[in-house]
Amino acid sequence: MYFGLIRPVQEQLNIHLIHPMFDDILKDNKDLVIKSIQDDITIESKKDLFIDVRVSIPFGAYYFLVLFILFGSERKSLMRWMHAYNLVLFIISSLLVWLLLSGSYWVAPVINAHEIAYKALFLSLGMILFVKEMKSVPLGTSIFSSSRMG
Amino acid sequence: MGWQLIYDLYLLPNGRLDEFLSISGVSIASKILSFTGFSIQAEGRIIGCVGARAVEINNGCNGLQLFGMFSGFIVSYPGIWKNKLILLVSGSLVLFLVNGLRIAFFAVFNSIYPEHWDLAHDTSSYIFFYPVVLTFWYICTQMSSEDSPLDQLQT
Repeated sequence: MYFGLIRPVQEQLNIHLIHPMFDDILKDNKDLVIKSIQDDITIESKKDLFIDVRVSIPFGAYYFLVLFILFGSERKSLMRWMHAYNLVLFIISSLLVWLLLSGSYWVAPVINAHEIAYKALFLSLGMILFVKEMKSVPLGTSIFSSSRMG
Repeated sequence: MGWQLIYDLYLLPNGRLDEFLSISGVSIASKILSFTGFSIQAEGRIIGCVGARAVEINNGCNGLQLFGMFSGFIVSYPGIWKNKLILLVSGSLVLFLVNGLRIAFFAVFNSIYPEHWDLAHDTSSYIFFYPVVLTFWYICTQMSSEDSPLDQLQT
Protein backbone atom coordinates (compact mmCIF):
# COMPACT_ATOMS: atom_id res chain seq x y z
CA MET A 1 0.00 0.00 0.00
CA TYR A 2 2.80 2.41 0.86
CA PHE A 3 4.76 1.93 -2.38
CA GLY A 4 1.59 1.58 -4.49
CA LEU A 5 -0.43 4.49 -3.13
CA ILE A 6 1.12 6.69 -0.45
CA ARG A 7 4.56 7.14 -2.00
CA PRO A 8 3.26 8.04 -5.48
CA VAL A 9 0.95 10.61 -3.84
CA GLN A 10 3.90 12.01 -1.87
CA GLU A 11 5.96 12.18 -5.07
CA GLN A 12 3.21 14.12 -6.85
CA LEU A 13 2.84 16.46 -3.88
CA ASN A 14 6.58 16.95 -3.92
CA ILE A 15 6.66 17.78 -7.64
CA HIS A 16 3.50 19.87 -7.94
CA LEU A 17 3.13 21.47 -4.50
CA ILE A 18 6.40 21.61 -2.57
CA HIS A 19 8.97 22.15 -5.34
CA PRO A 20 7.13 25.09 -6.97
CA MET A 21 7.40 26.92 -3.61
CA PHE A 22 11.10 27.32 -4.35
CA ASP A 23 10.60 28.83 -7.84
CA ASP A 24 10.95 32.44 -6.67
CA ILE A 25 14.05 31.61 -4.63
CA LEU A 26 15.64 29.84 -7.60
CA LYS A 27 15.00 32.89 -9.81
CA ASP A 28 16.79 35.17 -7.34
CA ASN A 29 19.58 32.83 -6.30
CA LYS A 30 21.33 31.23 -9.28
CA ASP A 31 23.73 29.35 -7.00
CA LEU A 32 21.04 27.03 -5.69
CA VAL A 33 19.96 23.76 -7.27
CA ILE A 34 16.76 22.38 -5.78
CA LYS A 35 15.35 19.11 -7.05
CA SER A 36 12.48 16.86 -6.05
CA ILE A 37 13.62 13.26 -6.07
CA GLN A 38 10.86 10.81 -5.15
CA ASP A 39 9.69 11.91 -1.70
CA ASP A 40 12.82 13.96 -0.99
CA ILE A 41 13.89 17.51 -1.73
CA THR A 42 17.59 17.97 -2.45
CA ILE A 43 19.29 21.34 -2.10
CA GLU A 44 22.74 21.91 -3.55
CA SER A 45 25.04 24.88 -3.94
CA LYS A 46 26.90 25.19 -7.26
CA LYS A 47 29.67 27.12 -5.50
CA ASP A 48 29.76 24.55 -2.67
CA LEU A 49 28.79 27.15 -0.10
CA PHE A 50 27.26 24.29 1.90
CA ILE A 51 27.17 20.51 1.68
CA ASP A 52 24.42 18.84 -0.34
CA VAL A 53 21.25 18.53 1.70
CA ARG A 54 18.41 16.04 1.39
CA VAL A 55 15.13 16.63 3.20
CA SER A 56 12.44 13.96 3.35
CA ILE A 57 8.74 14.62 3.53
CA PRO A 58 7.41 13.55 6.96
CA PHE A 59 5.33 10.38 7.20
CA GLY A 60 7.74 8.57 4.90
CA ALA A 61 8.67 4.93 4.39
CA TYR A 62 10.29 4.50 7.80
CA TYR A 63 7.25 5.84 9.60
CA PHE A 64 5.00 3.41 7.76
CA LEU A 65 7.38 0.52 8.42
CA VAL A 66 7.07 1.02 12.17
CA LEU A 67 3.35 1.73 11.89
CA PHE A 68 2.86 -1.59 10.12
CA ILE A 69 4.69 -3.46 12.88
CA LEU A 70 2.90 -1.53 15.62
CA PHE A 71 -0.52 -1.97 14.03
CA GLY A 72 -2.72 -3.81 16.49
CA SER A 73 -0.08 -3.89 19.19
CA GLU A 74 -0.58 -2.46 22.65
CA ARG A 75 1.97 0.32 22.29
CA LYS A 76 -0.48 3.16 21.79
CA SER A 77 1.69 5.78 23.46
CA LEU A 78 4.54 5.00 21.10
CA MET A 79 2.21 5.36 18.12
CA ARG A 80 0.96 8.72 19.37
CA TRP A 81 4.56 9.84 19.83
CA MET A 82 5.35 8.80 16.25
CA HIS A 83 2.39 10.69 14.81
CA ALA A 84 3.24 13.80 16.81
CA TYR A 85 6.92 13.69 15.88
CA ASN A 86 6.12 13.48 12.17
CA LEU A 87 3.58 16.29 12.43
CA VAL A 88 6.10 18.50 14.22
CA LEU A 89 8.58 17.75 11.44
CA PHE A 90 6.44 19.73 9.01
CA ILE A 91 7.31 22.82 11.05
CA ILE A 92 10.88 21.92 12.03
CA SER A 93 11.99 20.80 8.55
CA SER A 94 10.42 23.87 6.93
CA LEU A 95 12.14 26.11 9.47
CA LEU A 96 15.53 24.47 8.90
CA VAL A 97 15.20 24.74 5.11
CA TRP A 98 14.16 28.40 5.45
CA LEU A 99 17.24 29.04 7.62
CA LEU A 100 19.47 27.36 5.02
CA LEU A 101 18.00 29.32 2.13
CA SER A 102 18.34 32.52 4.17
CA GLY A 103 22.09 32.02 4.25
CA SER A 104 22.56 30.18 7.54
CA TYR A 105 24.72 27.50 5.96
CA TRP A 106 25.73 26.01 9.31
CA VAL A 107 22.30 24.37 9.38
CA ALA A 108 23.12 22.05 6.42
CA PRO A 109 24.98 19.40 8.49
CA VAL A 110 22.22 19.61 11.12
CA ILE A 111 19.56 18.83 8.48
CA ASN A 112 21.57 15.87 7.16
CA ALA A 113 22.27 14.61 10.68
CA HIS A 114 18.58 14.78 11.51
CA GLU A 115 17.68 12.90 8.32
CA ILE A 116 19.97 9.99 9.16
CA ALA A 117 18.94 10.05 12.83
CA TYR A 118 15.28 9.93 11.79
CA LYS A 119 15.91 6.90 9.59
CA ALA A 120 18.04 5.19 12.21
CA LEU A 121 15.51 5.86 14.95
CA PHE A 122 12.52 4.51 13.07
CA LEU A 123 14.41 1.56 11.60
CA SER A 124 15.77 0.65 15.06
CA LEU A 125 12.29 0.95 16.55
CA GLY A 126 10.98 -1.30 13.80
CA MET A 127 13.63 -3.91 14.49
CA ILE A 128 13.18 -3.85 18.28
CA LEU A 129 9.38 -4.08 17.98
CA PHE A 130 9.64 -6.87 15.43
CA VAL A 131 11.88 -8.90 17.75
CA LYS A 132 9.57 -8.19 20.69
CA GLU A 133 6.49 -9.30 18.77
CA MET A 134 8.30 -12.41 17.55
CA LYS A 135 9.21 -13.36 21.12
CA SER A 136 5.63 -12.89 22.29
CA VAL A 137 4.15 -15.22 19.66
CA PRO A 138 4.25 -18.99 20.40
CA LEU A 139 6.24 -21.15 18.00
CA GLY A 140 4.25 -22.37 15.01
CA THR A 141 1.92 -19.36 14.77
CA SER A 142 2.20 -16.32 12.56
CA ILE A 143 2.72 -12.91 14.12
CA PHE A 144 -0.08 -11.70 11.88
CA SER A 145 -2.57 -14.20 13.33
CA SER A 146 -1.57 -13.54 16.92
CA SER A 147 -4.21 -11.99 19.20
CA ARG A 148 -1.67 -9.31 20.11
CA MET A 149 -1.65 -8.16 16.52
CA GLY A 150 -5.41 -7.67 16.43
CA MET B 1 23.47 11.74 14.41
CA GLY B 2 26.98 12.24 15.79
CA TRP B 3 28.42 10.07 13.05
CA GLN B 4 26.65 12.09 10.36
CA LEU B 5 28.02 15.33 11.80
CA ILE B 6 31.54 13.87 11.87
CA TYR B 7 31.03 12.66 8.33
CA ASP B 8 29.73 15.99 6.97
CA LEU B 9 32.15 18.21 8.87
CA TYR B 10 35.35 16.15 8.72
CA LEU B 11 35.32 12.93 6.69
CA LEU B 12 33.57 14.32 3.58
CA PRO B 13 35.74 17.47 3.25
CA ASN B 14 38.86 15.40 4.03
CA GLY B 15 37.83 12.85 1.42
CA ARG B 16 40.50 10.22 2.07
CA LEU B 17 38.22 7.55 3.51
CA ASP B 18 35.62 8.22 0.82
CA GLU B 19 38.29 8.00 -1.88
CA PHE B 20 39.59 4.71 -0.49
CA LEU B 21 36.07 3.24 -0.33
CA SER B 22 35.16 4.44 -3.82
CA ILE B 23 38.34 3.16 -5.48
CA SER B 24 38.38 -0.15 -3.60
CA GLY B 25 34.65 -0.57 -4.33
CA VAL B 26 35.33 -0.14 -8.03
CA SER B 27 38.19 -2.61 -7.76
CA ILE B 28 35.95 -5.25 -6.13
CA ALA B 29 33.20 -4.58 -8.67
CA SER B 30 35.61 -5.01 -11.58
CA LYS B 31 36.78 -8.34 -10.14
CA ILE B 32 33.18 -9.52 -9.71
CA LEU B 33 32.26 -8.51 -13.27
CA SER B 34 35.42 -9.97 -14.80
CA PHE B 35 34.80 -13.22 -12.93
CA THR B 36 31.22 -13.38 -14.21
CA GLY B 37 32.32 -12.83 -17.80
CA PHE B 38 31.51 -9.15 -18.41
CA SER B 39 33.84 -7.01 -20.51
CA ILE B 40 34.50 -3.98 -18.37
CA GLN B 41 36.64 -0.88 -18.24
CA ALA B 42 37.62 0.44 -14.83
CA GLU B 43 39.92 3.22 -13.76
CA GLY B 44 39.99 4.96 -10.41
CA ARG B 45 36.44 5.78 -9.44
CA ILE B 46 35.00 5.00 -12.86
CA ILE B 47 33.68 1.67 -14.05
CA GLY B 48 31.50 0.59 -16.96
CA CYS B 49 30.81 -2.19 -19.40
CA VAL B 50 32.72 -1.87 -22.67
CA GLY B 51 30.75 0.20 -25.16
CA ALA B 52 28.31 1.54 -22.57
CA ARG B 53 28.09 4.60 -20.34
CA ALA B 54 30.29 4.28 -17.28
CA VAL B 55 29.42 5.16 -13.70
CA GLU B 56 31.50 7.24 -11.31
CA ILE B 57 31.47 6.56 -7.58
CA ASN B 58 31.46 9.96 -5.93
CA ASN B 59 32.16 10.78 -2.31
CA GLY B 60 29.00 10.26 -0.32
CA CYS B 61 27.80 7.45 -2.58
CA ASN B 62 29.84 4.60 -1.20
CA GLY B 63 27.85 3.53 1.85
CA LEU B 64 30.06 5.30 4.38
CA GLN B 65 27.13 7.34 5.72
CA LEU B 66 25.20 4.15 6.37
CA PHE B 67 27.97 2.86 8.61
CA GLY B 68 26.94 5.31 11.34
CA MET B 69 23.41 4.02 11.33
CA PHE B 70 24.57 0.41 11.28
CA SER B 71 27.06 0.80 14.12
CA GLY B 72 24.83 3.13 16.18
CA PHE B 73 22.27 0.42 16.82
CA ILE B 74 24.84 -2.25 17.65
CA VAL B 75 26.73 0.02 20.03
CA SER B 76 23.52 1.22 21.72
CA TYR B 77 21.77 -2.12 22.11
CA PRO B 78 22.37 -3.81 25.46
CA GLY B 79 24.84 -6.67 25.22
CA ILE B 80 28.38 -7.92 25.67
CA TRP B 81 31.03 -5.66 24.12
CA LYS B 82 32.96 -8.60 22.69
CA ASN B 83 29.91 -9.62 20.67
CA LYS B 84 29.31 -6.03 19.58
CA LEU B 85 32.89 -5.76 18.37
CA ILE B 86 32.57 -8.99 16.37
CA LEU B 87 29.33 -7.74 14.79
CA LEU B 88 30.80 -4.31 14.01
CA VAL B 89 33.89 -5.74 12.32
CA SER B 90 32.10 -8.51 10.42
CA GLY B 91 29.21 -6.21 9.48
CA SER B 92 31.55 -3.53 8.18
CA LEU B 93 33.37 -6.12 6.11
CA VAL B 94 30.13 -7.46 4.66
CA LEU B 95 28.92 -3.91 3.89
CA PHE B 96 32.23 -3.19 2.19
CA LEU B 97 31.88 -6.27 -0.03
CA VAL B 98 28.20 -5.60 -0.70
CA ASN B 99 29.15 -2.10 -1.82
CA GLY B 100 31.40 -3.72 -4.44
CA LEU B 101 28.45 -5.83 -5.55
CA ARG B 102 26.27 -2.70 -5.71
CA ILE B 103 28.80 -0.91 -7.90
CA ALA B 104 28.96 -3.97 -10.18
CA PHE B 105 25.17 -3.84 -10.40
CA PHE B 106 25.33 -0.14 -11.32
CA ALA B 107 27.81 -0.80 -14.11
CA VAL B 108 25.68 -3.54 -15.64
CA PHE B 109 22.38 -1.73 -15.08
CA ASN B 110 23.68 1.45 -16.66
CA SER B 111 24.73 -0.47 -19.75
CA ILE B 112 21.27 -2.01 -20.18
CA TYR B 113 18.82 0.60 -18.82
CA PRO B 114 20.66 3.92 -18.74
CA GLU B 115 17.33 5.79 -18.86
CA HIS B 116 16.35 4.29 -15.48
CA TRP B 117 19.64 5.18 -13.76
CA ASP B 118 18.03 7.48 -11.17
CA LEU B 119 15.63 4.78 -10.05
CA ALA B 120 18.45 2.24 -9.66
CA HIS B 121 20.61 4.70 -7.78
CA ASP B 122 17.86 5.79 -5.41
CA THR B 123 16.65 2.30 -4.56
CA SER B 124 20.01 0.53 -4.43
CA SER B 125 20.44 1.13 -0.69
CA TYR B 126 17.17 -0.65 0.03
CA ILE B 127 18.22 -3.62 -2.09
CA PHE B 128 21.86 -3.98 -1.09
CA PHE B 129 22.59 -2.27 2.23
CA TYR B 130 19.42 -2.45 4.29
CA PRO B 131 19.02 -6.26 4.21
CA VAL B 132 22.59 -6.55 5.52
CA VAL B 133 22.08 -3.89 8.19
CA LEU B 134 18.79 -5.39 9.36
CA THR B 135 20.24 -8.91 9.42
CA PHE B 136 23.14 -7.80 11.60
CA TRP B 137 20.78 -5.84 13.86
CA TYR B 138 18.61 -8.93 14.22
CA ILE B 139 21.65 -11.05 15.08
CA CYS B 140 22.59 -8.37 17.62
CA THR B 141 19.19 -8.62 19.34
CA GLN B 142 19.46 -12.40 19.40
CA MET B 143 22.98 -12.38 20.84
CA SER B 144 21.93 -10.03 23.61
CA SER B 145 20.78 -11.87 26.71
CA GLU B 146 19.10 -8.79 28.12
CA ASP B 147 15.54 -7.63 27.46
CA SER B 148 14.88 -5.19 24.66
CA PRO B 149 15.00 -1.49 25.61
CA LEU B 150 11.28 -1.24 24.84
CA ASP B 151 10.44 -3.64 27.67
CA GLN B 152 11.04 -0.78 30.06
CA LEU B 153 8.53 1.47 28.29
CA GLN B 154 4.94 1.69 29.40
CA THR B 155 2.43 0.50 26.85
